[in-house]
Amino acid sequence: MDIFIAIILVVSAWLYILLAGADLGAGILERFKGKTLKREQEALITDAMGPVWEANHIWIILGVVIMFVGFPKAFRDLVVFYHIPLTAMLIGIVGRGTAFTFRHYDAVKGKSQRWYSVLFSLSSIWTTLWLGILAGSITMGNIPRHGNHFVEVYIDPWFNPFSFLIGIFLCSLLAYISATYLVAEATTSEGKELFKKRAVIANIVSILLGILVFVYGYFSDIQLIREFLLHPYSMLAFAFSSSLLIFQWYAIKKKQYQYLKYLGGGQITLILLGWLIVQYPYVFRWKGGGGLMLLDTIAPEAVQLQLTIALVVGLIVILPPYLYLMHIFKIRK
Amino acid sequence: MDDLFAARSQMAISLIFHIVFACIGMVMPWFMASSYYQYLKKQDQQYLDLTKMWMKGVAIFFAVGAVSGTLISFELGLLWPEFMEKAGPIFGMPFSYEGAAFFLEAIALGIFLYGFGRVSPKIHLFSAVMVGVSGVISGIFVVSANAWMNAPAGFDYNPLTNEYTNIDPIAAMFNSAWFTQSLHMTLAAFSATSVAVLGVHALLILRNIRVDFNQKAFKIVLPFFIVSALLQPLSGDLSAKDIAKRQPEKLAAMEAHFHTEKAAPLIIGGIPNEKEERVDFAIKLPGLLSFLAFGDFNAEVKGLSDFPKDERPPVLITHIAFQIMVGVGTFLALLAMASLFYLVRKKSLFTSKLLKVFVWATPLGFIAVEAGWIVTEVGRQPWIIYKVMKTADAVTPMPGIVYSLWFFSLMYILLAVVVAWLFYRQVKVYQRS
Repeated sequence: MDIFIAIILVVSAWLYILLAGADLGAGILERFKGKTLKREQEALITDAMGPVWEANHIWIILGVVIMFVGFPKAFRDLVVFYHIPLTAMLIGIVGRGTAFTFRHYDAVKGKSQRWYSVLFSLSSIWTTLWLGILAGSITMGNIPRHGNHFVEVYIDPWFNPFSFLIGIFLCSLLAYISATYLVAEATTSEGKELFKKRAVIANIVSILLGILVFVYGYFSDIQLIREFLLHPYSMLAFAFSSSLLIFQWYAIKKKQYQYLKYLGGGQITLILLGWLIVQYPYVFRWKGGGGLMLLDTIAPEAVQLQLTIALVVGLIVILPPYLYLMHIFKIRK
Repeated sequence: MDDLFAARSQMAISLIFHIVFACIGMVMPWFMASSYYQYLKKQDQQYLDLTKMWMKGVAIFFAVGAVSGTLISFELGLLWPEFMEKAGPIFGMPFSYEGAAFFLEAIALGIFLYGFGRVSPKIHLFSAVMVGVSGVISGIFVVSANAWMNAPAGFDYNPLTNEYTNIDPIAAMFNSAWFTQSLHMTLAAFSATSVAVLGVHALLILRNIRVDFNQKAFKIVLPFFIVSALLQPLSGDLSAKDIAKRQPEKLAAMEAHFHTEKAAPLIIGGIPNEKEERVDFAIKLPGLLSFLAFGDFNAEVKGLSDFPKDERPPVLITHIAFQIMVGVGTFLALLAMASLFYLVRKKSLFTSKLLKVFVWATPLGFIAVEAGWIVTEVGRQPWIIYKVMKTADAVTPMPGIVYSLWFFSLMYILLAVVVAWLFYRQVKVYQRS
C-alpha cells in the first residue's frame, strides 16, 4: 500500500511536469514570440491552454495532499527547509494563472492586454525557474541536519549555481515540450513553421544546457550527478532518452508533428526516471551523508488504507471526465 | 511583530481573500446553469447572453480562487509545519476528497467554458450543473477539515510523549462539528453570493439599463437567496447550541459573557473590557442566552472567568465579529421574507422600494461570511487543534515571516484591486450592448 501511494505521488508529479509543464512552457515561449504573428501566437496559446490548464494544474495539489496525508514528516521537512523557493514558485503560479485568465476574459481588449501578456510570460518563466531551483537543490540535497544559522539552513541549499542551472535547464525543456504541442495544434502553415523553429531552438538550447548540467555537476562533486553517471539503469534511461532525440529530429524533418509531442514527452519521462532511480529512496539528502527516506515517513496503516481508497475512488471519478476533456479539446480537434 | 503573529496574520489575509472567491466559484455556476437551462428550454437569446455574462464572472473568480487556494494548501505547511505533520494524516481525508471534487469542477468548467458548439447541449448543460455540484461538495469537505480543528476526533493524544495514536481518518472526517459547520457555510455561500448578484442587477434595473435582461437575471437568482437566507438563522441556531456544548469558551467570547450564571442574558452590541471582565454600553436581554444556547431560560452558561487566562480566546474581536455576522444574517433573513411576501402576493418587486434595499445589501453577505470565519478562527485561539495543540507550537521554525506577510498582503491587495476593476469593466460593457 505504501508503494502504491508513493507511485501515485510520483505519477502526479510526472503528470504535472508533462501537462502543466507544457502550459508553463507556453508562457515561456510567449516571451520569445518575436515580431511576426504576435496575435496569432497568443491566440493559439490561449486556445490550447484555456480549457485544460486548470485541470492540469491540479496534479500539483494532488501531490501536496498525498505528501501531507501519506508522508507527513517528509512534507514537514520539505516545507520548512524549502520555504523560500516554494513561496517564490507559488507567487509565480498566482501571477501566471490570474494574468492568463484576465487576458482572456477582460471585457475591454485594450492596452491592458499587453500588461497581462507581460505578466503571464514573465511569471511563467519565474515559476519554472523556481520549480527547477527546487528540483536542483533537492538533487544536491545540502540540508544541514542540525544547522541553526539562517543562511546555512534556509538559503545555502538552493542559492547556488547548480540549482539555478537546473532552473534554466527546466525552462528550456518545458519551452521545447510546449513547442512540440503547439506545432501540432497550429492551424496555419506559417504558424506551424514558426513553432517548428521555436521547437528546434529550444531543443538545441536544452541539449546544451543538459550537457552543462552533467559536466558542471560532475566537476563540482554533486553526489547525485556522479551516481547518475555510474548507475547502469539511470544511464540506460538516459541513453534511451537521447536516442529519442533522433526520432524527434526525424519527425521535425518529415513534418510529422503529431508524433513529436509524444516523443518529447517520452524523453522528459525518461530523464525523470533516470533521476528517480538515483534519488530513490531519499526525499532529499542531509549535508554530510544520509538522507530522509520517503517510505520511512509513511503515515500509520489506517491512514494508508483510507488514502488508498480515496485515491482509487478519486481516480475512478476523475479519469473518465479528464480523458473526455482531453479528447474534445486535444485529440478530436 | 513576532513570527507567530505574522504567520497568523498572513493566514488570515489569505483566507479572507480566498473565501470570497471560493463562495462565488461554488455558487455562481448554479445561476449560470439555471440560465443556460432557460435558454435551452425557451431559446431566448437573452438567457444565452446572461449565461455567457455570468460564465465570464465564474471563469475569472474560479481562476483566482483556484490559484489562491493552491497557495493556501501550501501555506498550511509553510506556516504551520508542526501542525501539518501531526494533523495531516488525521484530517487529510476531507482534503483528499476535496481535491477530487475540485478536480472534477475544473474539468467540468473547462468543458462548459469552451464547449459551445463542440459538445451536445445536453452534455454542455450537464457540465454546467457539475461545476456547481462539485463546487459545493468540495466546499463541504474543506469545511469539515476545519471542523476537525474545532472538534478533534479520530485519534488518541498523549500529552506526555506528544504522540498521536490510533488514528481513524474516517472518524476525524465525520467529527461532531462537520455537519453544522458545513451546513452553515454552504448556506452562507449561497446567501452571500446571491444577494451580491441581486444587488448588482437591482442597480442596473434602477438605472434603467437593459431592464428586461436584468429582471430575468434577478428572477433566476432570487429563489436561491430567499431559501438560503431564510434557512440560515436556523442553521446558526444549530451551530450556537453545538458550540455551547463543545466549545463553551468560544461561545462565551462570542457573547462577551465573562461570568458563569443561570438565566444568562443575551448581550447585544457593547464593547468588552477584557481586563475588568465586563461589557460597556451593551443591551442585555435577560435569560435569552441561556435559552438560545440550551433551550432553557434558566440554564447555566459558563463564563470566561471559569477558564484559565491563557486558554481564553480574544474577546473583543470575537464578540464584534459575531455581532456583525448575526446582525447581517438577521437583516438578510428579513429581506428574504419581504421578497417572499411580494412573490406570494404576486406584486412586482421591480417597482418597489425593496429593490433599492437590495442595492445597499450587495456587500453585506460577504461581510457576514468574513465575520463568521473570524468568529470560528479567532474564537478557537489559542488552540490550532482545540485542547490538543496550541497555535504557538505549530508555527514554522523559519524566522522572518513578517517579510512574507508584507509581500503577501501587497499581492492580495493588488489582486483584489485588479479583480474589482475587471468586474467594473465587465458590467460596463454589458450595459452598453
